[in-house]
Amino acid sequence: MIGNDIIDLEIARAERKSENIRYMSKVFSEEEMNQIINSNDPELCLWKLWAMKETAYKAHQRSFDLPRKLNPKAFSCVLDISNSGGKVSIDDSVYDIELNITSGYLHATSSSEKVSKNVFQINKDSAFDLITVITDNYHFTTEDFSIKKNAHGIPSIVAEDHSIEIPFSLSHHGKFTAFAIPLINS
Amino acid sequence: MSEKEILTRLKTIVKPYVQRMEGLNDFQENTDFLNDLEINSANLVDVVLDVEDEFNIEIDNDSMEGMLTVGDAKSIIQRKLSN
Repeated sequence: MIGNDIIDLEIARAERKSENIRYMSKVFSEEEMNQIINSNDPELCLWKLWAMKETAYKAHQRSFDLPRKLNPKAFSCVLDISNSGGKVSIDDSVYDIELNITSGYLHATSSSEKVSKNVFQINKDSAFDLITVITDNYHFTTEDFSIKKNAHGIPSIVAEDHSIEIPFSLSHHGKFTAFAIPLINS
Repeated sequence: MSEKEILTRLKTIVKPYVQRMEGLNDFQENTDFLNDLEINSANLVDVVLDVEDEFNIEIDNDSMEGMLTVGDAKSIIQRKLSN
């Protein structure tokens, strides 16, 4: 199932959440908190775990068509030794998450299926047509598609005649917009 | 505390995290923190902490889970204040 989350590290680091024990205890288990505190870069470690939880939340919500919830603590994270991803479990489900980190952003995507993932740096004044970017990916023509959200707010790109429905996951933070869509085997 | 006072205080609390300011013009029970005000989910946890401080209450995980609209927050605050 598809899910992704983008973190603008400049904005996120400025919030200094790793020094805020009250904040952390609403979001992380004791084990996760210890991992953050003992890490070389606690702030980065915190946002890795947050983005993993948020990505798994989106995948899980889509998978079971669940109503929205603010329950980050229900998702428990284990980072790989490589630190470039990990596993998140919730109830009986486990999600594999991949992390891509640059100096500017941290991008998490669920990696249980092959996905095309993209991160854009958006100039607020420039028009950005998400549908064009996504339909170009599939070599469709743009005009027949629109973004539809179901009753739980889960988005898909849908053809006007409903012949095609592409699940996709969208995330914005600060100057970045990111999405993930399934790859079509061709 | 009157409902009106709770909503006024809530509006002040959420303001620093709002990314869609137009959403504040029509601030009422149906206002959705994520969709209408575009507060990101990491900052929604900040809202929970600020509500705890402002109203001197504790919001447990079960209550936090359902705090998605202004009306949800108002009901949680009223419930905790009456305990």
